[in-house]
Amino acid sequence: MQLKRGLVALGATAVVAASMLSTGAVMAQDDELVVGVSWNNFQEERWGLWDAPAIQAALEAAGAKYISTDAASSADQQLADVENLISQGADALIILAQDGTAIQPAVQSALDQGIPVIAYDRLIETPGVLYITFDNKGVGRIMAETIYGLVPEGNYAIIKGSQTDANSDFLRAGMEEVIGQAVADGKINIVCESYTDNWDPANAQASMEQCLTANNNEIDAVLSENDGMAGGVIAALEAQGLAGSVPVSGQDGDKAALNRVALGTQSVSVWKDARGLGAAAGAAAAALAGGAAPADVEGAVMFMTPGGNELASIFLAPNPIDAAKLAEVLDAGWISKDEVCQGVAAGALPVCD
Amino acid sequence: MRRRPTALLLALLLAVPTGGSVNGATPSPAPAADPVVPRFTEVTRTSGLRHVYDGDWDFFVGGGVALFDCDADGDPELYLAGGERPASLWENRSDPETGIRFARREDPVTDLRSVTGAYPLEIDGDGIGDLVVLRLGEDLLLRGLGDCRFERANERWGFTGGDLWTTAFSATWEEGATLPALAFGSYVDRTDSTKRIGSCAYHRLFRPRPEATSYSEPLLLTPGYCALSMLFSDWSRTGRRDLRVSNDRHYAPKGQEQLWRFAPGEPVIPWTAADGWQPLVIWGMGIASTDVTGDGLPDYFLTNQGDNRLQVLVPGAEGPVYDDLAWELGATATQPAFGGDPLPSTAWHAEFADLNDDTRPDLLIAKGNVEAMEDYAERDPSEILLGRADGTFLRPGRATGVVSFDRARGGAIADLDGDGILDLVLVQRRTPARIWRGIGSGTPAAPVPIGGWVELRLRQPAPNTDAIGAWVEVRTPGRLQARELTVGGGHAGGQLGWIHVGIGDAAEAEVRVTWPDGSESAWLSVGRDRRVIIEKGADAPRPWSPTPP
Repeated sequence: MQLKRGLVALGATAVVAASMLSTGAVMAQDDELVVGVSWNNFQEERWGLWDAPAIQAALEAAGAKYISTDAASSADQQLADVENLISQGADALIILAQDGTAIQPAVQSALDQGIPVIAYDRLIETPGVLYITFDNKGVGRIMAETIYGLVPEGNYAIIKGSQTDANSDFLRAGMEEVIGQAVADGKINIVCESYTDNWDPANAQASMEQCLTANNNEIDAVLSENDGMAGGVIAALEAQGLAGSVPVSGQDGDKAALNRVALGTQSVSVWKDARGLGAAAGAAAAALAGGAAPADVEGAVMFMTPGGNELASIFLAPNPIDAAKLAEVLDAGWISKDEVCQGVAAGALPVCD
Repeated sequence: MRRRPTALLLALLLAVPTGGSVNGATPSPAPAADPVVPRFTEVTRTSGLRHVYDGDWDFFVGGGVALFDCDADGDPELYLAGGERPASLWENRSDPETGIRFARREDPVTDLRSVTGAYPLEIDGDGIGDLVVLRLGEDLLLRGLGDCRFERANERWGFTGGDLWTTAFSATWEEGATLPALAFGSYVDRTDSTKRIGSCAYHRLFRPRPEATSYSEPLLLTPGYCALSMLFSDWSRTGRRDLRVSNDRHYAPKGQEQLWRFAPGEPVIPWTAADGWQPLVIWGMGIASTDVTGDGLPDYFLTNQGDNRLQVLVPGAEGPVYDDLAWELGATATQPAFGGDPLPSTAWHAEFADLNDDTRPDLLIAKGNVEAMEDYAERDPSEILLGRADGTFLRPGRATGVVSFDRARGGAIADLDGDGILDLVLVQRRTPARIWRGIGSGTPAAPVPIGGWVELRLRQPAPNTDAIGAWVEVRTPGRLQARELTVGGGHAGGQLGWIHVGIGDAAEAEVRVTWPDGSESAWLSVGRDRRVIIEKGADAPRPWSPTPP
């Protein structure tokens, strides 16, 4: 079976090569624009539940056709998938890369044929692609803004994610933009700051316990880089009777975290609504398929990547969910009322009544 | 585009003789018949083996097993890395009647902590196998004394064990050398307390002093890209053994797979893109090598996170130009073969062996999450791929009976109980190592061999008594298999012992040895299901019998 697929892929390459000789981009037979979406692994629940329907809706609204492939986690399969989408007449591609490096040759080939490419959620360092993701530095900034608004002076603990994950430092850099001056002025004192192996909640709890002990429980606020670790932090606070009185940040919109927001033990969970990402990518793909340049797509800014490429990029603003905004995740169907409001006393929170 | 195999290469693969004559006709592209699935039954509990590889960050990788016969009774012993727990040596007390049995040999010399892996190797030419022990901290050379006793030999052999995080090893005999050259591969630089991305330590190459039986100070091989496996191999089959190194891009995002060139009298340098060596960046964890395609050259299976790789030399290439055929041949094993976890796998030890004795190489892949990496499968069972006659692989999933969702790391394949059917060992992180007994197409009560086999050991005068670097060719009607004898590869562990070659339904096999010095034996006849010793210069193989007590 695998060998046959290999031969099919070779055939597809031949078709592509032939089309390059004749007309450049391969057009669908009718005038309808076609957008090909290459999923890296559609078996992961999130994509089918949130992202794909939003992309499809946006394409439908723009009068474009949705076709898709699933690479089932294989970077090799995804190379063949991109070739297949092109041979099926895709006018633009949305690629959620399994491996942002391995996919580059296929992306370059598409661009060379005049087929625009959107790097969806994961960066592809090929000049000419349009990169669409959430603003990760912004997540750190928004966390810090929420906590700083509550605690403008005092002792801060910062619980960062894994040392080996560049996101940990992006988030921390965003925080610095907000609290850096207050730290320099001596108003905020960062008494503990640590990385957390594998973003593991148990490790975060241990770090927080150490921090409390070392500072005689005199901690006024905690910047935790995600919801899972916030759970560990809050367990450590709980043991000292401090849960609910020390503001704690998080991100991801985890169900347990949103419940803690309702209970008042976590101040905020920064939520990245996948539907917004899908809608933006669908609209951008339709615009690109219609001939727009990446930099001219609505919302695009130029972004210097870690690899030194200047890419047109769309950064979606994440949404900080605090107790006052829980209705937004309920209305979106992201979480049920029962899940949000579990254990919340009657009358304590309007959204739970 | 990523290099796709040329039509020529695919045609060559399809033209591999399949047992019958192709008679010059265009080979049929029809898929080859599926191989018989060899079955295994787990015997860990009754085997007596009780061993866990454990530890935190420092032991997320490692967990190798050395398999070798240290008491000269013909059955292999096991030496298992323990991480923060002691490593342990297990004597083989198996026989076909009682089944697989191991007994712990307690000895402070081998009950070492901070061991990541081990490789058996006959270092000093006395004919008694020695042991190379890879550690977080000082690496050790243990000299075999016979009867599974060892002594520390770092001082005796002038070997400085260093203080690195050693995770890879390979050895080769260079021309005229009295001792093997030893290559030790390092992972993350321990002196860099931040454990940041990109801080990989250097590798060390120990060569013997001229005309002496001790080692010089090591030559440092830089840059290191956080190696998890290395293998000296004669990739072009020209007699030059270069060092292939598989690296973990997690800590070396700007690194790549390496091939260090070992030409006599020349500096050791990596082959470059200008020589045709294509940059390949993977989460390299292990190297397995055999001739999959039938062209007489070694192919290299590289374990990875997600797609595994199968590197095949491009026909006619002047330099080390490799194409990746894992996808075309059905050997990517990207996701768990069974169990339903949709995320990509994390693969570690890999080893080729003919598990069903049908003359086609099969492959054991040890799998398991690093710890709790959420982008990778949590339920990630180890698996077996079965080679078809056309070079493609069948993925039988749980039909082999090897079903374990533990975090596997190291592994080994050998006939542990002397019944002629290959058995399996997997070392796992945090949970007990496991043993499966091969039962062929039969049942645990009545194993049935699927095909015939021969088992060979090579012997030549010291140094290099085991003839590491030799090529063994085994000829049966319609089929020629080629095997290179190497020390290294896998994930943190290797084997030294019987070379098990499946011969299908042939009544006998013809065997020819190309010795490490390039000299060739005649074709020697070996009977089906026989263990024989082939001595350099002898005109017939010697039937093996246990050393009298």
